[in-house]
Amino acid sequence: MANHIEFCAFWIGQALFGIDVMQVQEIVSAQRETPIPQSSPVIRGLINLRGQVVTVIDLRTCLNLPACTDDENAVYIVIRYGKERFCLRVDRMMGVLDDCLEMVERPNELNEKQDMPLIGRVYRHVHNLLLELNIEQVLAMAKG
Amino acid sequence: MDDQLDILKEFAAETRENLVEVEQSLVKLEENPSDLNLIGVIFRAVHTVKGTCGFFGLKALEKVTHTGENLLSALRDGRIQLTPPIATVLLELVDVIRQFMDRIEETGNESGVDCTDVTGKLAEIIATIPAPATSMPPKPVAPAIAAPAAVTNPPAPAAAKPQVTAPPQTPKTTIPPKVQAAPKVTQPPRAEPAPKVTAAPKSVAITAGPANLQVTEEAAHSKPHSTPPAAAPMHESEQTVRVSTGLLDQLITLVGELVLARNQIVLHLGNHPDPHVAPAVQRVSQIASELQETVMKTRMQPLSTVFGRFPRFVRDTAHMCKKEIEFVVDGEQTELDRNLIEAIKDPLTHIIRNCIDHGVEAPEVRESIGKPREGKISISAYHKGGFVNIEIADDGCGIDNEKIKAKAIKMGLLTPHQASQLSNREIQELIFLPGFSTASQVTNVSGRGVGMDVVRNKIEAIGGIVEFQSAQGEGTMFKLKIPLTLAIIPALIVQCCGESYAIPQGNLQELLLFRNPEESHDIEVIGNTYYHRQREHLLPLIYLSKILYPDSPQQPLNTPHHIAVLQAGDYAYGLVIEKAGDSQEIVVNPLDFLTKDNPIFTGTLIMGNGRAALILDPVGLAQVAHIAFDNTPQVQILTHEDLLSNDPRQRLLMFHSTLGGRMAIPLSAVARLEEIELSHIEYIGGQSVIQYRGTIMPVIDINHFLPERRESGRANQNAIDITQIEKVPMIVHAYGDNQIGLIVAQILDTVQDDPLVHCKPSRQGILYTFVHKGFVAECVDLRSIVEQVEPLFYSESSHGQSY
Repeated sequence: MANHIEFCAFWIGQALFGIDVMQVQEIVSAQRETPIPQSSPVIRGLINLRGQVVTVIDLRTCLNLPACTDDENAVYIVIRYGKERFCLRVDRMMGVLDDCLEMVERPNELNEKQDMPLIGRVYRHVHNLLLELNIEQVLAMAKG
Repeated sequence: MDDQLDILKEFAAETRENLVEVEQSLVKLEENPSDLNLIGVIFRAVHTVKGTCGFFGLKALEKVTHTGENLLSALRDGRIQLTPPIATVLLELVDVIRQFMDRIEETGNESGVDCTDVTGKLAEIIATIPAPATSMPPKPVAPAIAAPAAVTNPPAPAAAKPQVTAPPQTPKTTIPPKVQAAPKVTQPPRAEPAPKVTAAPKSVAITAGPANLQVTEEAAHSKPHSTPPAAAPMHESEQTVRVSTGLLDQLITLVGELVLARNQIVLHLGNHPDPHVAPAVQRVSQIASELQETVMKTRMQPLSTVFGRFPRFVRDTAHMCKKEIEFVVDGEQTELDRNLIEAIKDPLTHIIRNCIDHGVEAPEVRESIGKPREGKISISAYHKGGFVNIEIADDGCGIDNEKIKAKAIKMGLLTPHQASQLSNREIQELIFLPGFSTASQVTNVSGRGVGMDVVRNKIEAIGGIVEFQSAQGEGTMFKLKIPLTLAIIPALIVQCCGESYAIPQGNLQELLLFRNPEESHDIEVIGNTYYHRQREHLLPLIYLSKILYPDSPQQPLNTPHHIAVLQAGDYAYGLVIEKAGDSQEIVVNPLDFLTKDNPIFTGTLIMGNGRAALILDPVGLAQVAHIAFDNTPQVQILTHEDLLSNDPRQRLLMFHSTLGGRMAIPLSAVARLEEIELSHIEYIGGQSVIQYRGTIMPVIDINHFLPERRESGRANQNAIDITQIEKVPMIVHAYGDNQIGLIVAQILDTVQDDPLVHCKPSRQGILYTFVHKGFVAECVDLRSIVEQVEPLFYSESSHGQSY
């Protein structure tokens, strides 16, 4: 159990992603966001999270994927980032996983993908690969 | 360890507050050196710091405060009189203690603060104090206590003197506190009981002298008669608690949310009446409102937190400028949102500094002109009309208009001719231009010309207003109007592309509705910019939808729409919006770290329906739309005279004259742009006229009034034969009710005038020439030409209506 990280795991398209649960404040179901004109395309908009206005980043756009046709299961993962917080919009939740094994070597198919910077380490969970999301990179996209 | 840090931080915060009081008392004490109460306040505060240092092992701070305390006790005992140099050193001591507090708050320890300078200065003064032996006799205030101290503990008074010139003493470092303890006891009424008790046992433990123990006990006995001064602060501290601002902000957010939830319930109940729930909802509703009001009050702080710094500041600055100044503070209990208090600190300091340096004359000058030697600066604050008004007045020389004019001409902002036409008020407005300073010499204090523009910008950034009045020779008064709070502002809710946006009401001048598309003929296109004819001005227009979604198809001009006339800095423009809603009081949230760089929004809010929405930034919108021509504010032009005079930073309308040359006139002189057919021009009495909007208006071609420079016979290749054009552009220039049409070949664009590129006029009737985008253009002296046609065009008597 060398790498005992608990992941908050979620799906985007066919890929399973994970974020360290310690960074996650809560999960809330998606709602209609207020768009922010003249901002980065990955910023989906603003929501009212119990009286606080929070920015939502669309991970699908970050990963260059087309908008989801069926977003009934879409949720926001509210991330604590220092004193700030923001939401990541993902296709659907998988749950909290504590039995992921880090892979020493990156699978070849991953290296061909363009969205590499967004992916940190790669783990194996049962039959799936779990890609650790690099939050800093996501924020860099949102700010840029 | 964390606990210790927390306690240290609390200590630092408390000390800071005490230091403000010390500063104020010191400045007051300078005027009234014999006020023992003031010395007592200072002494107590310094002593508390010193006493607390012992707990935390802050050796360096303890040492410097201890030396300061020695000086203070000499002052208190009347062994030395407070002189300005001594006050200066004591104020420096306050600064050093403050540095210690900064350091302690940051790192939790005191290392890195240099206090040798102050310690040295303090020691120097103390060395000049006459020996306590001679000054002891008048000291005993409470003989019953002082006597035993002197008798049973003979070494104590003896030791009191050598404490500064320490070397001959035994090398024990703990001696000084003990020495200090002895004289202190002789002044029980002013010494604070609590710290003394903590200090005394310490000295007992080390020196093990029974006499000292006895003194301490007696001091404790003396407490009952000496309580009054100490009791008041105790009482106060019981009524207030320290709460972190973060907690308060959270409370405010939660209450805001509660109010929104309440609104939803009330709305629901309105649609589905339920007599069982209604009374309870009504009560909840009322409580929520009161709760919100109360919580909002926690954001308020008295202005004394800023004003408290000023007496010291005035004193120091006055010394530096060699002025004598009486400083009067009034209304410091007036409350203001604490974020705003922070924001007005620098502007206020700057204004006061100006008053001292530029306003109040030197004492000799004042005497020579029959004013009291001492100048007076007053600062007062009061509530009025939803604003906090702060007035800063001096009785100095006032603002010398001639000096300002001369400077403005020298800086190339005005021509002498223009300067002579400006009203006094407009001249005084010039001091708000960036880089403007009339000080002939840059001093340490001011005169670098960074100042009043920054003051105005900062105050306007928080929705405030700066005004001033000045009478030459009598003084100047600055008036700041600051909104009570930034947290809640009135705003107009508008709709665009299906979303709601808020426009701060403070920026909104008026709202125009165009129900009828027919009225859209009031819109002009010049270059790429749309303009709306508003009375005799052309107002640049910004289409909100185009700014928000530049890629979306442009909205046709002929649908009903609103134009919100917005003031952004010194510029006004019209924001075209699809739909304007209500005006509401909105709770403003700042943008978060991901969105804060967005140029067109200033904040967010939560709408009544619970959705998040954005607040538009009128200045940012103008910048994005490129109509914020440049960042330098322009001199506000208010009179009709000024519509015609060539203000240095104005905008020009460029056009091709009928002979092909590029010409320009001030955009402010343009009332409308029309297109006419040449066949509609009629001639009466040698004057070409046209029927225009029910009146007869003269029409001229500027070229007919300008001397021809070309050699006769040489053909002008650029000339545009307007008779070949179906519809000829006409500029309508208006002054009051008078109108005149100018026939031109083509309207080109509007440009920002830049006095730096002006060249000398090419011929009569031209004010100056300039180069724009590689072409030479002439700026027409419209007034002289129009007066050739209608000599009375600009006369006041012909005004049909006043504005």
